[in-house]
Amino acid sequence: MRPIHRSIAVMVATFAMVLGCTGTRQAYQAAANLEDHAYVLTHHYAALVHEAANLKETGTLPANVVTALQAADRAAKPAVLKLEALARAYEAVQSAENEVALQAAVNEAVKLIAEFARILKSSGGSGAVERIDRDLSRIDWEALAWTR
Amino acid sequence: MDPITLALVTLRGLSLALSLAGRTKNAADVETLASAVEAGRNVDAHMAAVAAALKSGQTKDWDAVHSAIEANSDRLQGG
Repeated sequence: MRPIHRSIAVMVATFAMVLGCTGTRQAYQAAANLEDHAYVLTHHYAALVHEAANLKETGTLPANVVTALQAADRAAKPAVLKLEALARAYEAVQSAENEVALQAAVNEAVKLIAEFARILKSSGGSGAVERIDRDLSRIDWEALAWTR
Repeated sequence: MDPITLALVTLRGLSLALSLAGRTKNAADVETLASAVEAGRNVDAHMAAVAAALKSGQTKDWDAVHSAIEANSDRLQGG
């Protein structure tokens, strides 16, 4: 592959890797307590599932990725939706028992949201970069000379 | 122009060039990547707004976020 084409693939890979960093980090840093953390997690999942649904509707996602996202959603959604009740219970009565229950639910939600995000990112992130890198090597670039 | 927008313009330009050259599968791969880049940018913008709301002490709107999850989960799970 010509260096310029490899550079394009590397550039897009780099952008893909730095996605979702600044605002997401700011949100988690802004969480002052466990209830805030539960709220940020719930919003993070809301944003991810919104984008996943949009990507599915574009019709560009491979069927196996859509199936994996649907399974990850079925696992994550109940865990995320129960955070509010536990956060409110802890807010009302700050007992050790309520704190443990909320912390356990947050930990579970983090794990499931991370899995959902991993599938979503791999759908167009590193997997696509690898495919593009491989496919670009097969392209007859002389045929595309008019684009340069 | 911010770097993510620049990446999107580059990727969509490349996708268009490949498509016009008849490399539809390559064009689709590049378009998938562009969509993922855009999705990441949207998630980050959403989370930046959440950060701003938390910092300003805005009341948490659990109902709105739950409704959004339900609606988008239905879209994801739907046929």
